[in-house]
Amino acid sequence: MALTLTFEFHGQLLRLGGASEQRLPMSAPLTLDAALQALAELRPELAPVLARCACAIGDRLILRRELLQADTRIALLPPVAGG
Amino acid sequence: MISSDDPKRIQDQPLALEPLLAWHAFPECGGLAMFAGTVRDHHDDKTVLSLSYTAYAPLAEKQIRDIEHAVSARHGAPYVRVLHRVGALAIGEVAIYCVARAPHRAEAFAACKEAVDRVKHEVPIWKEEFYADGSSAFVEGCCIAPDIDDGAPAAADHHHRHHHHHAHD
Repeated sequence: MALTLTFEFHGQLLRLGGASEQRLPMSAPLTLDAALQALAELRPELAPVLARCACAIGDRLILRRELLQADTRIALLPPVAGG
Repeated sequence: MISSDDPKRIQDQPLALEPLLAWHAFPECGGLAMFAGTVRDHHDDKTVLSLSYTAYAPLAEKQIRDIEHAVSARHGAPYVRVLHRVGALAIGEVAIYCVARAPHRAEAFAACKEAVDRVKHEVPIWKEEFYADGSSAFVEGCCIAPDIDDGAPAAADHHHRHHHHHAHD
């Protein structure tokens, strides 16, 4: 089954990505890890940062082994530096 | 004044300190510790002209509240509150306020320090610095993915240990 993932860019990914998000059509089900690998192949310039990103759906951090089964918006969160 | 009792923790306007102090509550608390983080005019040997903070608010709001609760329980400080500013900030502007109130000063100081440390290291907030030479850079930070070993544990309730290769300020 086809699904569309929408990756939101935050922090330095906003600069590197040149846009606020990237859509990625994939086949379900797949793990977040597989989706991130596909994104890194599509946008190799982002790969080093993607490797250190946390991922969130809404207010929940998700693990790379989690399965994505439907259209999903995923926030990509590079290493943080508040304060 | 319901809004001041539970303000948004991520705010895009100058932060107000007075409502954070909660003077009219917590009569059992004899200690109040407060930290303000302001924008510095340099980073290493570079002159900083301004900063931009951005956040992923849905998670940042929840995580700051979670940190306040955890720190409050750990130190016996009935009141812990952290606000973080986002947007463009000039030198000297306040980026973060933390207030902790506890029966005695030791718990208030400890709670204030731990809450600030955890917000800086665990909450999805990013700092971009703009330098006098026209360049800019994102300040290198802490990986917060729970399943990536980045030199520091990133579990929900961890107490951050400084095994990172980069410096914290």
